[in-house]
Amino acid sequence: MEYILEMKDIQKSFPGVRALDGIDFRLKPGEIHSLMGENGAGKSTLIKILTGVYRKDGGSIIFDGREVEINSTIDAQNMGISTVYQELNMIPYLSVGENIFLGRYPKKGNMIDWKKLYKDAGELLQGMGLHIDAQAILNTYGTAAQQMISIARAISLNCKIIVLDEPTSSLDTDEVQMLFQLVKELKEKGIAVIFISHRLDEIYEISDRITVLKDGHYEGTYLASELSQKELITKMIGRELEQSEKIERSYENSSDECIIELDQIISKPKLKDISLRIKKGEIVGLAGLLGAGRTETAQVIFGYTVPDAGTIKVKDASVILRTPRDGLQHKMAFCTENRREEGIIPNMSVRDNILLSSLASISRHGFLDRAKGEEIVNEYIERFHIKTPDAGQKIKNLSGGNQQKVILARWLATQPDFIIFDEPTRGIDVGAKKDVEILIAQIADMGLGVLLISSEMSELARNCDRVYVLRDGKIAGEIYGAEIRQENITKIIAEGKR
Amino acid sequence: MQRLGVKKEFNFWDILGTYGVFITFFVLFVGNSIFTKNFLSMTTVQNILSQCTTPVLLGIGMTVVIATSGINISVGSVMAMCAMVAAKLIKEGMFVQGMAAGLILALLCGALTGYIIIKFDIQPMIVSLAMMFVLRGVAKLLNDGKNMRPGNSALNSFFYETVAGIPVRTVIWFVCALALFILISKTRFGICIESFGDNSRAARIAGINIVAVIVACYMICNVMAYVAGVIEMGYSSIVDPGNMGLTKEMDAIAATVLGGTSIDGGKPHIWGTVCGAMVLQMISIMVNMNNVPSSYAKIIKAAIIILAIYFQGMKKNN
Repeated sequence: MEYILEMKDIQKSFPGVRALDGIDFRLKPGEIHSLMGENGAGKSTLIKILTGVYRKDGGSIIFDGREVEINSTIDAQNMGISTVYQELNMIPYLSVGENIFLGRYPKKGNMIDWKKLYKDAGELLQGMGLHIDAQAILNTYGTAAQQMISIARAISLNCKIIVLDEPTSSLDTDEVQMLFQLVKELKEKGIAVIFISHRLDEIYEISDRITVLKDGHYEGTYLASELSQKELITKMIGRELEQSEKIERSYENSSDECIIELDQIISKPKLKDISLRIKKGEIVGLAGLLGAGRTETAQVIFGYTVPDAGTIKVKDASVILRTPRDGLQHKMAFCTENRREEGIIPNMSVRDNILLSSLASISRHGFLDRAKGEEIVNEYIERFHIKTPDAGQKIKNLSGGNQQKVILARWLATQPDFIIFDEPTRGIDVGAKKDVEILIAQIADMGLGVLLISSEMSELARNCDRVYVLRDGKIAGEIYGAEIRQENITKIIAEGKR
Repeated sequence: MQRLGVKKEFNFWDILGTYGVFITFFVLFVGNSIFTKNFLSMTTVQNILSQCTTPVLLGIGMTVVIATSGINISVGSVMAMCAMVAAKLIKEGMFVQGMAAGLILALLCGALTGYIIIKFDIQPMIVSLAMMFVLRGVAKLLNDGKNMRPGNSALNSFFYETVAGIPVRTVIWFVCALALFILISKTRFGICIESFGDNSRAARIAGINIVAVIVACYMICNVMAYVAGVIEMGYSSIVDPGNMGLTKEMDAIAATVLGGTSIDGGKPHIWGTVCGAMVLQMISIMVNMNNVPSSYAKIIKAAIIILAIYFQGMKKNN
């Protein structure tokens, strides 16, 4: 038997989304296998199917040589599949030993055998080379130690597969090394490890093989030693078939006037050194992998988060932005990445959603001038071709693309000088994507400075005049005009310089 | 305008969740007119319209707060404390000062409650719970826990007046409800409340001054409580610091929920709450007039509230 686990042609759909389409995943005993892919690629969905949180719609799972159905998390646990989550699923105020044997306390008659519990837990931890007191309360230990304890629990369950989902995201370098040491010991014992991380260096340090997913599709499985970082990134985010013709622009209102300037911005924990400038009528892209600090940069510019150090200048004047309201008053706009959580007011009408940020300009002494509001609303519905039966429709009933247009209308109604688009085309279909991209070009040609954040390099290539590439909270490089191509961006992300 | 994309659908649960209270009111009213003796008399109707004053006033104030996905259980204590202060000054012959002092205190307490909630991100329930205890304590301390008589007969008789056959108390709550309705449906403030209650993060990013909005909502809520306190003080010509407004916040919450305002926040339904308060009042009167022990009224009210929440849940899920 070569594989401990084979997942073949796994299918999973959610209402309106095909989350997984024909995923193959094979795991050998005693291997460390990384699962890679950007947000929405289907990693978590696949893991959730493996651990019994979701049920697959199609495909088969062969575990230990026989076909199995995993219908619940308990099924998965009984088979020997354990997960150590990003957010630890342990109970902070119980002791280490109790956490390890949670739900399976050793008993003497009807009573818990505390002596045996702590003895077993102590032996287990010692066997793993960990100096952790089994009787101490869990949260007296740091995240790293808690993760090790979580792994100890998995081992005590006699597991054959351990899933480590972003285990390193809150650890420092030494702690990561401790964790890796432990993971290597697991490997020695013949336990298979599925490793998920966004840090490329770590992936290469620890993995034997890498499986890449993209948009719910299976891209392939590779030996880590035979796949270069650049190839990996291309497989994760590249879209070679997509056209990358530039969207047409007139540049009639472009000038050298600097609208936004950031100088050495530091904002813990993500941003380490960000300096950038955006000019009037210019579309500037922010590229980088997930976790590189793209959204955080946008949040600092808009006043959503206050940076720890550095200066922000709006039209050459230093400003301090404490809330998004300050950003709005400096004529900025921010189309957020999470339309649902940070964009739409779901139960409010399309009309009020459009007018939300410019209420002051359509009211007198606090009373709304509904006629004036209606003019603005109708203007934008027509101009953006927003498909809605009428302006009174609740926005939650509109499609994603149309919701995005409503949010855009909301911001343009404030007549901003500068606008941030964070993943403006995520979750909307191809036709609507083109519409949104053309709108962005039009907005820049009106003389606005535009910051465009996107994970799709082809989208940056089509739209941007200039692209900053972020890597690990720093600007790793800057690309201009015709140089903005997938391979150039990939190169900077992989090598960290240009 | 484009007329493509989505169809506007008639949603049964939507209607029931939002307007169910008007149907309930109608059914109760017609039912009682037929089955309860003497129900359809001027006195009974007047009773319903005037006895619901406190629940209506507290309810509409509560509605504004609940629309922001908050809650203010200190309203009963606000009633007692502010009325106590007013009564004390009125007794000393300072009528205007007394009325003003009560109002200012109500506003200050509301501002403080709202500010703590939004600025330090503490559960509204906990902040207003603390307020409830503090203000009740202050109310009792003001007169060593004893009842206070403002001793102003003009004030007392004012609340027994009628305007064109309608009790003056009814006129007051109607005017207050109308004012709040206009505030919510005709001003930018109304949209700010609704957007915050529906999606507070998005509202913040959209540049809404959320601190000002929340503070204002709790101030409004307290002013309504104060008005209720003054009416009770005037009508009964006595302020009982230990009992005035006691547990009345529960009636206010019940009226709000019954009225179709979602406990999770969102659009406030002022007239729904008014109707909700009257439904609760009507149940009390109905039980009373049919010689059924009043405890049954509470059970019936509870059942109706649970039904209202169930409809709201169905509305949300459909």
